[in-house]
Amino acid sequence: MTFHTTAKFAAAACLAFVLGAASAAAAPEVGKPAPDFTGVDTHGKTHTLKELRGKTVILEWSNDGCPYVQKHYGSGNMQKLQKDTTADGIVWLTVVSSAPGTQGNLPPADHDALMQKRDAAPSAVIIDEEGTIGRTYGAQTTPHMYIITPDGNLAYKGAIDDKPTANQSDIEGARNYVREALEQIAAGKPVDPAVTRAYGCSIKYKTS
Amino acid sequence: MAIRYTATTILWATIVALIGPNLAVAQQPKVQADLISAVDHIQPGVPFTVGLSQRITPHWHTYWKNPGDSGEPTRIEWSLPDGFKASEIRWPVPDAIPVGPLVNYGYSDTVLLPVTITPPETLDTQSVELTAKANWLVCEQICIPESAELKLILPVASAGEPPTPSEHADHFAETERSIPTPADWPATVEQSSDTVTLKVAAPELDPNRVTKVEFFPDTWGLVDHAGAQKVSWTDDGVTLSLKSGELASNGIKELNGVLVLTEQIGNTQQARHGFTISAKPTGTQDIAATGAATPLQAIGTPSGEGDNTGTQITIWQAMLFALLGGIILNLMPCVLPILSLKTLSLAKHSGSGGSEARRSGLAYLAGVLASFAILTGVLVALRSAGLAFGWGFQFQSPVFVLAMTALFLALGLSLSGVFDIGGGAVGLGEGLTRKSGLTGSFFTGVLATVAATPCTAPFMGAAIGYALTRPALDMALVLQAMGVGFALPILLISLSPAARRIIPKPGPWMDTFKQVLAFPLYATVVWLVWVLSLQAGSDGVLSAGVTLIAVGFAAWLLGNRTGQPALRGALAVAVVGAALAFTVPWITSAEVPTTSADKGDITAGEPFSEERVAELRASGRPVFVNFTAAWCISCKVNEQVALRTDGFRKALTDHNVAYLKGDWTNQDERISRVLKAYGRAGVPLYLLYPADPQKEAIVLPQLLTEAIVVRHFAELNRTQAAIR
Repeated sequence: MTFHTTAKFAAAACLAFVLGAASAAAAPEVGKPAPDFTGVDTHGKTHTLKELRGKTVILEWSNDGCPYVQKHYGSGNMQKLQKDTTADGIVWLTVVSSAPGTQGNLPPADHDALMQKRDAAPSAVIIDEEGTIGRTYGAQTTPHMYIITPDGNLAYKGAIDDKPTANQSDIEGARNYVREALEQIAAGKPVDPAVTRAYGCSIKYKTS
Repeated sequence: MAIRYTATTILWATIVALIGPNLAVAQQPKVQADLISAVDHIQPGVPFTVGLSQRITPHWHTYWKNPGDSGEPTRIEWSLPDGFKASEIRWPVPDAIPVGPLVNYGYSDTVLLPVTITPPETLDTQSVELTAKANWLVCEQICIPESAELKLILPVASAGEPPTPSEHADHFAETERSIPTPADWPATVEQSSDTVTLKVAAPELDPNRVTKVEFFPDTWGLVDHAGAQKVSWTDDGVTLSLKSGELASNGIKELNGVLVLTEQIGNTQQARHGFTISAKPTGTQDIAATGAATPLQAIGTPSGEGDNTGTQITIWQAMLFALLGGIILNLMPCVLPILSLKTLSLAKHSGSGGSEARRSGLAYLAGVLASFAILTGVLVALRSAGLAFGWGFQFQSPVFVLAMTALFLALGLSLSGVFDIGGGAVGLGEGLTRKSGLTGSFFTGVLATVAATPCTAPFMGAAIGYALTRPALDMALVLQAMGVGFALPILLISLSPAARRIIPKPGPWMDTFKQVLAFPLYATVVWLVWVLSLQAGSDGVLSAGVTLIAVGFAAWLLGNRTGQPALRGALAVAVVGAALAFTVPWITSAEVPTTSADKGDITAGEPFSEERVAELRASGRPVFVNFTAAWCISCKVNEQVALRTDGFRKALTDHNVAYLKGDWTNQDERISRVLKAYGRAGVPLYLLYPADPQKEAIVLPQLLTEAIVVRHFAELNRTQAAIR
């Protein structure tokens, strides 16, 4: 009789394990193909990763109300990085995954106005209210940075730099991981560090 | 206060909406910060403790040294007089705070972050001024960096005056208990593709006392903060299966963190203990003991020396609950017929002086207390053998149920007048001697206790749950209190002539009443046979039938007035003995039937497993679990009244609640463990797990109505709606 009970539980446990494994969305790994996504920008234009094959793509998760985002925009650090990279032909997509009614979720026109006011220069601002792209990439914080190489592989994911604070004064002297990674890619070297801890505010995801 | 808070919130919302969030920082701070000291004055060269106290606005939180998936730890920059040294923050155990799909590690409501300050060997000032700039991030949905310049002035005493505790000393002492203790448990870490397995060798830990195990890694990257932590216990200690973090693929050379064990104290109170763990990959760990505190002492039963504060239930409360539970137990359907008989036998004494009734009542009390003492002994023995057990556990044995079936049939036949139980075991025999009358009363007490064990009365859950986690003496006290409560109604009737007068005068009606009372006992037999059918299938039913015929035959033999009484007695014993010799081995080897009763209806419930609960919650569904057993009458009543109704069915669908059943009819280690985790020793137990896996399950009352269940389901939804 113990055998039957054990067998039943074992079966239930196996089932739970299989289902659990299937439902857990794995975050993309560096060195492997970055997951494709489809996102609509503030002008209604659709962007897919597939179409951007052949170009280096930077994804920046953002939320204008977050003090850590304000650190990098208030100091001009983020804008400078955007201008330097897009001038090199890199595509910079700012992704906003804030759910409706949460901090950072704005009407498209307000995003554009904000970018203009900040003198920011992303290639496009993607509105990801459902959090689909964010969850696919395992984006956790604002800012959270990803670099995808022209062959479609993920080269870097993590923080913008090594000073996990909200103080603008910490930007000077900080190691900018995104710049470092881009330089290493350009020099044909392996990216190191390729994964760092993203820091900032939690992304205000829609709760299913 | 509430009005002001609301006003602030509205103002806040307006400002954020109109001007944008940049100005939010200028709002009233979300954390009230103070620099406080554990001592009134300091002494040269003697280290002392100060701390940053954070009083955090409800629903907001600040962060631990590893803030988890987002956030930033609190930081303190000291400006100290020359020669003073400040330690790092000694971080208390954090909470895992879920934020959507992420998990943060931090603190809510209040936290004290202690720092040890070491002054120089010589001081020539009257007082010293400690200045600190504290920075912290405080988040709810949104995050606000806050900071404060804090100052603390402390008088300096001469070398002869040791530091004295300040008004905050208690606060510090309380915080001290939640600061992780270095554990000398050897720990290893193993990696597979997406799992990091942390094994902590701590054989002295008692899994029955630990209700929750959490691991907080010191740093980011090796372990996924938001991943489920699967806990399993072995003889050697505890193993956690963790989800790999983003840096784990580089290989883990060392995994450091805090293992937090939650211990159940009484029914409602829990204590969390943190232990610092340093795990090395298998084969490389250093087994040398470090001379750290013995973890066993740290998680041991709180001693009575003042550190046992709070609202946990005390031995006195447990005894009071036990007493009340015992009294209520008298009303349970399995006990009532037996007690009615006892009352009847007392009625016979109503005419006489009453001393006999008194003695009879006391003998009954002795019988009950002796049975509870034996029960205590068995429970202690089982516990020391490390076996799972609980209230009514003996009904998990089909042999015991079979024996009960035989006993109840014999009692019923005796009431029906087929025979008189020898020596008047139920105190009913005619022309009893005083001695056998007392023996009879004693055994009535034993019988009533045996019959009562499958019933759990309200209040008993808390008391027994408490008793089972305590040393043997406390357990004995609580169970004896329950025995006193159980015996109390009959005892009062026997002691009070006034109460006895309420019982009608003895007469021919008593025979009729006796015969009528036989039928609840027959009903009990039928119920027990049904229990057997679930425990041992058709073989169990057949065994019961054979046994019952033997009992019937034996009863007829005993009741027959012809022939030698001794011969008839011997023959009766032989018949029953032979039947049992045949049926007991049969029933123990019988296979547990796979029940397929009323499948397809949602009120049948899915079988319970912790994995299934986790999985359903992960899919966003709340889960209602009914822990039940076929032999538990309270469970069956609750199911009929509350869990088989259309209203319940509708509530399940309306609120998208999954319904699982944990069947404890047969011994089941995993269910016993859950019961223990909720401070229960037996069924019924009703748990409602909110969909959010970080939330604790809600315990529903032991006496259910449909309204109670539906209300809890509805509240669940409201809370969920309120959070978002």
